[in-house]
Parts: sequence; structure tokens; C-alpha cells
Amino acid sequence: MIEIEKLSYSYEDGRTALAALNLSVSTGEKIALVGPNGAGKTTLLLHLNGILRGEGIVRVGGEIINERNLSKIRAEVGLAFQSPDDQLFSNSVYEDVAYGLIYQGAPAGMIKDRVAAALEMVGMPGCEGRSPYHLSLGEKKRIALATVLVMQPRVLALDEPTAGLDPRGRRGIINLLAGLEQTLIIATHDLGLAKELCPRMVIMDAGRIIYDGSTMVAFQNPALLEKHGLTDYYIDS
Amino acid sequence: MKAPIPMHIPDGFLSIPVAGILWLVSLVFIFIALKKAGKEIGGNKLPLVGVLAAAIFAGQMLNFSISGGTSGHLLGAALAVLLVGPWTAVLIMTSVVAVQALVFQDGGILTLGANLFNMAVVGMAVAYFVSSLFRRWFGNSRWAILLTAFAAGWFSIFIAALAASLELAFSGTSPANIAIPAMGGVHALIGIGEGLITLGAVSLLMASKPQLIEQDSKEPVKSSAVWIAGLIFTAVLLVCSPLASSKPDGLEWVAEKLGFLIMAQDASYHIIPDYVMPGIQNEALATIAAGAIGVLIVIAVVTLLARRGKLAENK
Amino acid sequence: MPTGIVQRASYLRGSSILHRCDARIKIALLISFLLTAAFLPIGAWVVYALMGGLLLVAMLASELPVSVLLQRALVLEIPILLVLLPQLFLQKGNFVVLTVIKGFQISFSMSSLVRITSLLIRSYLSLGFTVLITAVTRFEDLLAAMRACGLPRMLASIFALMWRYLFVLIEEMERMTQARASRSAVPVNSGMRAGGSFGWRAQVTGGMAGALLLRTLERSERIYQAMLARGYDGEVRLGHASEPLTWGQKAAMLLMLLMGAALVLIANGMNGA
Ligand SMILES: Nc1ncnc2c1ncn2[C@@H]1O[C@H](COP(=O)(O)OP(=O)(O)OP(=O)(O)O)[C@@H](O)[C@H]1O
Ligand SMILES: [Mg+2]
Repeated sequence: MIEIEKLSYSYEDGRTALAALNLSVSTGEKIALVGPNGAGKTTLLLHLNGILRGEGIVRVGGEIINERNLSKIRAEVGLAFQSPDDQLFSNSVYEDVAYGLIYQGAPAGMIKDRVAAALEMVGMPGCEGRSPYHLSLGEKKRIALATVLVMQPRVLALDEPTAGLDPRGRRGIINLLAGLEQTLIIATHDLGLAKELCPRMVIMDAGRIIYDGSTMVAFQNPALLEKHGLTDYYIDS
Repeated sequence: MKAPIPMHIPDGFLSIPVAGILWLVSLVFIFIALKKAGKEIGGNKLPLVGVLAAAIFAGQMLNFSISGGTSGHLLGAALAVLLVGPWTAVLIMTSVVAVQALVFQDGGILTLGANLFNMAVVGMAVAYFVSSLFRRWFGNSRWAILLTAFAAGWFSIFIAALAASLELAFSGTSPANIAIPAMGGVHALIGIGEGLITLGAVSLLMASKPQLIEQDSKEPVKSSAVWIAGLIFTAVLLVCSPLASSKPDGLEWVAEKLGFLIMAQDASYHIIPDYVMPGIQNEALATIAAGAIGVLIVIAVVTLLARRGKLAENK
Repeated sequence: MPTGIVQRASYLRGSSILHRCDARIKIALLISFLLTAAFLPIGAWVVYALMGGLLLVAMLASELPVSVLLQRALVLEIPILLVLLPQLFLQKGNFVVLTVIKGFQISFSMSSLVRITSLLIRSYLSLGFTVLITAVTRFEDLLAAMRACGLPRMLASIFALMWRYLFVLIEEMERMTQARASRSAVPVNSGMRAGGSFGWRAQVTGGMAGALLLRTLERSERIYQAMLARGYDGEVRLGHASEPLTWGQKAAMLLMLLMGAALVLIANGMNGA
């Protein structure tokens, strides 16, 4: 589904965020992307739908991302941003969730139904008329997820979907994600989520992939987790 | 990449007298604004003004595609006026325009006075004038406020562009009958983008924090100063521009009388051009047409929005 | 993507004489240069060349890559070119008709050519010098210098606060733009007309501006509390206040203005002759 070859990216100020990174994801896989702050997780996700275009090759569904197929790629890869504020800028929840469908030119009736369904999925049915500004952080995160789900992309790239949620909200999101058939790539600091949802784990540090393999195996290697800032305790080695 | 907004006049485009006079005028207005808005800003409103200036600057980089490669931008003078009142808006736009010139070379240094005049002073005065007028006419309903936002945005751009083109003409940089229809025409269109963005922003603010927008007018200026300035700018420019462009001799005469023609050394240069290229001759008509088109579009947009509003209510 | 602006924030790190020079002197230098360029008559080629030489020397003194500076100025010159070029074909002065190839003629005004070339050179000189000065002066120092030259305290404070949050807000705006782009997508064979209406796109953009303002307003309240916590005394500063100028520095500033005036006089004399 997604193949990345030798992907490198530096920000304008010269900081290297991705360094010759390789990754391949098959259809239907659920992958946890973990690593310390500043590892390059967000930067990598931004490459999956061509928002950032580094050196190297990114293929989605066999096609190399280029200027011409961007729009199509973005319909296939839905990206939910780390901060929901970036994603919510309309007068009402309805308009925000409907954005992608309106852009596609979908008929009004269909938009209405799919928005309602997406809100239902994220556990916030019937809140179409509310102003996103007045929602709590957790509610905003769920609406931001709905804005992507509503477009029914084949790949979901989620940047910290559970950060800032209360335990019940977190549980809701995990259950929701567990029920999805799409390919999932989740950047997260929530190792519990990784363990529960994602059979495969990719650990990043300083723009490189340090570990790519079974989540269970990674958990049996506390030294590895500790070395890349994934535990809140230190182990004597 | 931010396309250079043609409103920022670069150095070398204005004659020294024009640039100098506008520096003076702008300084006077900024001084008054400091006096008027100062008491409030001195206290807890200071960070608000500074950060809003940064936000307007950032907001100017937002764009949306119109068609092909062109995109619409925000200037933000009207938005600032609607949000914080005219005098504070002058200070905000002054900061934005000044930093643009000093750090990003958007607009010149000698011409900064003129750019401040167009974008901070004229933009503010026109937006304030239009919004006061519209509020008086249409009241404080949701639709009235949105209409006001659109109109304030459109007029602030259109009139500021006319001011800029008159300055160019007075400087002898670009003949009036080219500058005015060209700038006027382009900005009648750019103004629609400005109007719609302003409307969108105000509509979001109303949906999220209505108290920000709804209070009648901030810093009420007892129907004087700004109001009169707005009226004068609007009237003078709307009347002058078509006249100036249809009777370039008249403008040239004025310019000569006032000693404005910097190109005096260049005697071969005349403001009256005879174009080799056909079709760019109906100057006054073009300006008036641009104005008329603008008004038509305002009406069309308002009707459309009203329809959409009804649909939304029916849902 | 609107990322270009951050690169255009033109300060380039360095430690040359020009970098270390007091910002007030640099402002005086810039203004003298700009005024001189503006007062120069049309067709004063020799003086243009002289000014160009000065510009080049100054650029070399900055120890910054000259090509980068010249290129920046060139980019800024493009809109000017677009406005001036059409005037070449105004029928006035001595109009020249050139036959390039048989049956294919170009006609243009010779006097316009001279005038436009002069305007272009002058504006390029001005832009070049502005680019140079802003490249060697941090905004913090510029602001302190302007404050010392009489910029009112309140405006200086507003500038300072604006500068402090400018790049934060630009980044916020960029992320919103990215999020919008992420959802501006069309599946392959949807067969529907994509993109939405012009009015809708404009309004969405307005919503983004509004959201940015709204969050900014909230942030400003927190900023005020932080300012108070750090001992706000009525003025927000970015750097140190400027020290009083020495007599030598003042004399240097006067000299620059005089030199400019002399150049203008020379140029006019040469043209008259
Ligand atoms: N706009 C930017 N400009 C410059 N550098 C940036 C920018 N965004 C991120 N970086 C840098 O790139 C590196 C990777 O950042 P990224 O946001 O991808 O990390 P992350 O793994 O998502 O971290 P976190 O867990 O904190 O979200 C960091 O060092 C960061 O400072
Ligand atoms: Mg991140």
C-alpha cells in the first residue's frame, strides 16, 4: 500500500528531520509509529499524502507521489493532525466535517448522511450545530478524526489520536480504531494503544527507523524502549 | 510563496514630493491614533494589539485559489477595524505594513509613508466609514453584520488601490489613464476576495464569540473625525479617479501647478499617451465599470448568501 | 505552500563590520542612499555606475554571498519590470521602428527606453541596498535604533510584541493550510465537479483567518499575565536600548547625507552639460 525508499527531509532552518528512511506498509496493516519528541514522526506522516515532499520516493498504491496525482493521493490517505486546532476552522462542526466532501463536490444529501455517520463513529452524534471553538480538547480531537473518516480514505495516518483524552475518551477511540478495516499508521506516545491495536511497531529516533517489527517483541526488550525515550524509568544496563 | 500584493509600492515608484507628503500625513494619523487608542492600549490591551498585528500579518499569507494560478489574499484592514475599532486598527496596520517593508521588503522605505497611508489610514477610514454607514442602515442582525463585513472589505481594498494609483499618477510613474483603470479593475476583483474572507472571519467570530463583533462600534468616534475622513477619501477618490483618468491633462496641470512632476527633467515625457496597442483607451469608462461591476457583485453575493442562509435554516 | 516568507525575513547571520555597526548609522546610510537614488536624474549613467560600485563594495564588506543579495533584489524587481515595460510601447518622443526580420517589426519609444532603463537601475540600486541593510541588521537592533530616534514607546512595544509572535503565528497558519490541503482531495473516478464554489473557498479561508484571530486573542490574555509576571514596566523591549551616539558617529551620518547630495548635484551638472 505504501512504500518509502530513502526518504530524507530537512526543514528550512537546516534541521534534518528524516534521514534516508525506508518503510513499507501493506494493505490493512495497523502500525504504531513511536519514538521520542522530535523523532520525526509528524514529519513522516506529512510525507504520506504529499504535504511535505522530501528527497526519495514515496509510493501510495503503487504510484509515486507527484504534482499531478496529489489530489488523488490525498483522497486515499487521510491525515489527522496532532493538534485538532489546525484542522477546525469553520463556524460549526458540520461545516468542518463536511469540508472534504464539499470539496469533492458530493451531493448535499450524501454529505449530510456521511457527516452524521462519521460523528456517530467518533461518539459525538448530533453535535453538527455546535461551534468547534467551544468544544473541549478531547471533543475537538474526535471531531478532527471525523473530518478525516468522513472521506473514507483507504489509509488513515493519525498523529497522536489519544493525546489529551480522558480514559473513557481514549477507550472510545481505541475501540473505534480497532473496528476499522483501513490501513492504519498511528504516531503515538501511548504504548498501551500500540500494544492493543498494532501488531507491528516502528520505533523512530532522530529521523531514522531504529526498530521495525513485532510490537510484542519490542515490549520484551525494555532496554530498546528505554534507549529511545519510551519508558518513564531508567534501567541499569 | 506569497505573491507580492500590488498594493505595496516599491521604492523608486513615487516622486519625492508625493512620498514626502504622504509620510507626513501618515505620521499625523498615526500620532492621533496613538493619542486616541493609547490610554487603553497602555494597559492590558497592549499585547492584544501586538499579537493581532502578527496574526493579521500571518493571515495575509492565507490564500485560496481563484482560478488557474491566481489566488486571493487578505489585507485585513477592514477585519481589524471590525474587531478592535478604527484607531487601534491604524496601529495594527501600521505595524504590519512597517514590518513588511523593514524586514521583508514588501514595499519600499521612502514609499513606506504612502503605503501606510493607503493601507493603514485610507483602508481604516474607508472600512470604518462603510461599516458605520451600513450598521446605521441595516441594523445589527446577523445578515447586516455579514454584509457590513463584506462591504467594508471590498471598499477598503478598492479605495486604497485608487489612492495608490493616484499617487503613481501624480508621481508621473504611470499615467493616470493607465494606472487607475488597471489598479481599479484588478482591485475591484481582489476586493471581492477580501470581502469574502472578511465575511468568513467575522462569521466565524460571531459563531464562536459573538461579543467580539456585535457591540455596535468600538472606540465610537462621535460621528466626526474618522467618519468624515472616510467620507472624504471615498468621495474624492471615487469622483477624482474617473475624472483624472478621462482628463489626464487636468491632472497634469494640477501636478505642474503643485510642482509635483519629478520627471520635469524628462521633458519628453507626457502623461497623455497615445497607445500603439489598441483597446486600452476607454479609461474613465473602465473605472466606472469596475465600480459598477463591484456593486453588482456585492448584490449578487448578498443574494446568494441570503439563499444559502435560508437553506441552512431549512435543514 | 507559503513558506517563502520565513526565508525572506532577510537577516543573515554574520560578524562583518556592517553587522557590528550601530543600527542608527545603518539607517542613516540606507536613507542617504535611497534619497540619493531617488533624486538622481534620468540617464545619469556615470553616477548610476558609481552608486552601483558603492553598493558592491558595501555588499563585499558584509562578507555575505553577494550573489544571494543580488538575487533577492532581482526577485523584488520583477513587479517593477512588469509595470514599467508596457510603457515602452507608448507612442511618444522619438518613436523607433525596427525591422527585426522581414515583415516583422518592433516599434518602441527611444525616450521611454532611456527613462525606463534609468528607473529600473535606480530601483534596483535602492532594492539592493535595502536588501543589504536588512540582511546585516537584526530586527531587534533596528527597533532599538528606531526607538532611540524617537519612535514612540507604544509603537515600539507593539512592534516588539508583534515580532516575538510573528513566526509562531505564521507556523500556526501554515499548519492550518496543510490541514486544509490534506482534505482538499478528489478520488479518481468520482465524476463530480471538485473544488467547491469560489465563494465557499473564500469563506473557508476567512474562517481560517477568524480562527487564527480568535486563538490569538486568547493568547494575548495569557501573554499579558506572563508580562506582568516578568515585571512589565510599560515598555516591551526586544534587546538592549541604544547608547548615545558619539560625535564621530554623528559626523559620519552627516557626511553620508552630504555625499549623497554631492552625487545628485554632480549628476544634474553632467546632464545639463
Ligand atoms: N516547521 C519546522 N521548522 C523547523 N524544524 C521543525 C519544524 N517542524 C519540526 N521540526 C523539527 O524536526 C524534528 C522532527 O519533528 P517532528 O514534529 O516530526 O517530531 P515528532 O516525532 O512528531 O515529535 P513529537 O512527539 O513531539 O510530536 C524536530 O527536531 C523538530 O524540532
Ligand atoms: Mg509530532
